[in-house]
Amino acid sequence: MNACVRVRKLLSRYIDKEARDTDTAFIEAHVAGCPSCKKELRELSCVRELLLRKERRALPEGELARRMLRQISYEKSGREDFSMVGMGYLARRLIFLPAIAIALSAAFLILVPQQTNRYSWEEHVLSGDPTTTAMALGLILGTRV
Amino acid sequence: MTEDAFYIEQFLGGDEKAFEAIVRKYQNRVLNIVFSLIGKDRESEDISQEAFLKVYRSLKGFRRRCSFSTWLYRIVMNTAYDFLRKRKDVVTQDEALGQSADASGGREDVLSALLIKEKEALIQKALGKVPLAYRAAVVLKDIEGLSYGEISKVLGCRIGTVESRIYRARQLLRKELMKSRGDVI
Repeated sequence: MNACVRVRKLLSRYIDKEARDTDTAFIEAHVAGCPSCKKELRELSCVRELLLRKERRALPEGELARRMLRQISYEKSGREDFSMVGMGYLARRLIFLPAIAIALSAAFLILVPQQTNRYSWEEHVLSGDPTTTAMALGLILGTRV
Repeated sequence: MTEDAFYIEQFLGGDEKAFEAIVRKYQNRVLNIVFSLIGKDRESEDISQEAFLKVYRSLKGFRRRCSFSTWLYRIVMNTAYDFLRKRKDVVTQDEALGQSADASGGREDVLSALLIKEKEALIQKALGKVPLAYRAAVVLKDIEGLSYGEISKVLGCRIGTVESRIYRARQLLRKELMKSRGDVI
């Protein structure tokens, strides 16, 4: 094998100080008399040096652990929410009932006062008629009774 | 028993705090490997977090055929590879310079700080141009300081392959850095 080819093959290990003693001796002897391999050694050592001195990133102490714990607890709570999947057919159907009940109540509150929108509250008090629930609602909502 | 083995035993015994200790020990090492491969700060943090989550979920299955750190780095590399495969992008100089500019500040000599940051950005950009297989080897060597033997275990290839990948990576880095008209070398 050509000496230069052999040196290039061993060069990484030599630069990283992981070459065997015999290889180290061979490389040093060759490089002393070979300008091309000497240049290669110098430049690649320089590249290594740049990477070694490259700025390192650092997060605050325990930052990733904190983020991880948040993520894990989020996933666990997500799994609990997802446990609805395991509910029975009827239970999944009935879970919408409260929402329907709320919507109907809201509609009732809005529509009933409008239907009883006959005369003003002052007129009603002066008339001496009994006060119904719908009239009381009208008073609360600020509409005419 | 090593420190890692101790924490793993504690964690497997139900002590969640032991896993926090593992993350605390490796967080910046993992972050620097990922950043050197990806070149983007926010994504690097997300990928590091994702890798630790994978470790958390699969630690029960860790067979101890290799050291914990080797196993961890393997997961980190695979998580980073998956990200790069999906994104298929490299670091642009502007992005790298932008990140560096954000990091700089204070009352130091702004010009000299900028020159240093610019050099950092050029090195990161050059790394982004090196094919992933070579980049992974040189990052594990020069950023994390693993031995050739450890790198071969992490990457699952022969030591001879690690040698040639590191050599080739450094050659390509030199070529890329030379393009920046000797500003770096």
